[in-house]
Amino acid sequence: MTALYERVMKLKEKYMKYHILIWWLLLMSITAYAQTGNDSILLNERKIDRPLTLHKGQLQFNTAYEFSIISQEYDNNNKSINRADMGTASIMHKYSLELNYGLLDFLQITVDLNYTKRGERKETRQLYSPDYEINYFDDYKGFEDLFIGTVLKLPLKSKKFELALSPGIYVPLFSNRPEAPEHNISLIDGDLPIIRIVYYNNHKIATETAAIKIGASSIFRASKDFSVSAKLNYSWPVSESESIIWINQLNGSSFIYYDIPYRFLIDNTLDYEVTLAYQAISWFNISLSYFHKNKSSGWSEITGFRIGNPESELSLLSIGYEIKASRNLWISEFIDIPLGGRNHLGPFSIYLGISYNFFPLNKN
Amino acid sequence: MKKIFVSLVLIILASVAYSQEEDQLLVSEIKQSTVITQPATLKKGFFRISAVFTYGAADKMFSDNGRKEYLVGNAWTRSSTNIIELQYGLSNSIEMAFALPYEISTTSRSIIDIIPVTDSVITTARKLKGNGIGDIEFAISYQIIKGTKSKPSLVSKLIATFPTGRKNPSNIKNRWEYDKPTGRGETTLALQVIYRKVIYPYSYSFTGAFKYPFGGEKVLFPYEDPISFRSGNYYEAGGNFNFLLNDWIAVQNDLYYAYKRADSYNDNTTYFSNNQSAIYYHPNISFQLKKFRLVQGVLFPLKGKSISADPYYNIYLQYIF
Repeated sequence: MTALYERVMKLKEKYMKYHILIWWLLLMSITAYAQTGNDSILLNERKIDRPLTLHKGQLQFNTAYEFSIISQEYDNNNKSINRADMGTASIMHKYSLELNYGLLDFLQITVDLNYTKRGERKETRQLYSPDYEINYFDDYKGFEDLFIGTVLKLPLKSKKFELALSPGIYVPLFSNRPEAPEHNISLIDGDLPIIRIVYYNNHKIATETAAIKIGASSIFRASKDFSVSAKLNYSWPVSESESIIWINQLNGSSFIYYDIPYRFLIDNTLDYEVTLAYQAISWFNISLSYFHKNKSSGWSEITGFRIGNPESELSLLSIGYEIKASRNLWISEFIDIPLGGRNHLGPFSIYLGISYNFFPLNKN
Repeated sequence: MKKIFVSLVLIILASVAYSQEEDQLLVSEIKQSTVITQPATLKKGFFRISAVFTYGAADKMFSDNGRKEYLVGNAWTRSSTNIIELQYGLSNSIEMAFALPYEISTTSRSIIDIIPVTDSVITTARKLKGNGIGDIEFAISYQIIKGTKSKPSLVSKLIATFPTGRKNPSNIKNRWEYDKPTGRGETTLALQVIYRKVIYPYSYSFTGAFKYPFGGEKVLFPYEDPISFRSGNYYEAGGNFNFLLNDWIAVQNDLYYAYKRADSYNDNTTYFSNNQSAIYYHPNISFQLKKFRLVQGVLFPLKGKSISADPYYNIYLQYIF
């Protein structure tokens, strides 16, 4: 033990002058690694500090589930109609997958795909003598049109203010042609037997229409922990589209279906959102947003005549938060409350999202 | 220099010895433990209060042949169960719990009656509400095998439910307008066994449960006489896999199978009820903020027969004293 101690002391004397240098180099290398490693960017960056585009080489997977209760509807006079009271309320489930990649520090590409499901009932009709119960049901489900876009951040030198442009296209990847209806007739036994007819119509979510979107977004960091951001988007179809409508004919107690093609033009959509965000803690950001969208100029020949779609609009208030669980994983939750609208459903929604971020091509 | 060398050796030895000692956590640290690292039952003298909110709407159901279908007709039910739960650690192995539920439920329906004979059309909107205290629950949990950081735990839980909720339709105006029951109207006794293992930062568990309802008498519909009934026996088996995303956020994944035998009314099991079964997936995320815990999740019925196919959103707020 003593011999070992003496040998250590000899080495210490010989290299004493290098100790400080070696420690300094070691510390510097760790510091340098920490400052240049891409993971440390994600580790140290709070939500409020994140630029409008991803960092160069950053890949982001966003998945989300949105649960909407559609118990409200706005009519042509902006009047709210309570669908729940009529029993015609419905629930919408929406699953989202978004992929973002930072090509450069100021250029990001985005691919966005959503899948939606919703079943909507209509008022039951009872016809007497003989007794019939007639139910109408509309089943909406399928993928939305695929969105591919870019975000281009303008080279402003200020860290307080950022501005970006976000052009993109909707790709008609999925069919808009609904499957045949599933109407059925059944006899309900009981003290007073009735004949139940269910008109069950299927609908798709995709429009199968190529559309262009232009948009802009900005953020103003008013203080270290407070920001105001805004988004503005406008989209319009490239061309008219075609789909089919099913008609039915009753043959005895079974239905025969025929499909008839019709042309339509999807609406032009203008939407904007203003968000106030507060970085309460380095890993916790709360936000309050106002969202408004307006749809107009579309038409359809579904009735055999070209009829313009009624202009529609919807305003939502969104309250939410984002938690940075780790440098790679961010969790967000938002509640959307309908404030008003016209010719539009008013969904109350709960949004749960997970974002996973990493740098797949960089070693650091 | 010799003294420094010896001191360093002693410090290292001491830290090694400390790290080999298990369960040397401070009381405050145990109270701040996550759903993954928390003891299988509450420690002696610990008290936890929870507020549990669940929300769902009746939209779809699994048919008798297992097909997921939208409900026929336009009756639309929104329901929410809100529970205040109190848990107390009697000893390091025994935990008592009490749950007080408050049920909120609304069923709306709108019907257009077409009567060709009189050439008339009548639209009727009907709304049934069922708000009030539900059936209270007492539970006692016992750690048969006491879990540690390296050893699994085995807990048995006995749960008794008492029919404190309103069991009959009340405030009856007519056959279609009344207040719905908020309770089942019978006492039940359930036994649950939970095997749990923690392999930090993961944990998994297996669970089995059986519930025996004792039956009773209740009025099913307005203006009808009470009839005797007994809910079907309930069986459940499943497990979960959980992991920590960081020191204070945990993700839980519950997967379980539930089977309930048909209810019997006047000793007749085919009346209004079928055997029900379902496989449920219940992902949820838990945030541990010191002694405060927030858990959010969605219960998804994946497969089933003669049972609701609607997801339920739930949120728990917990605080431990």
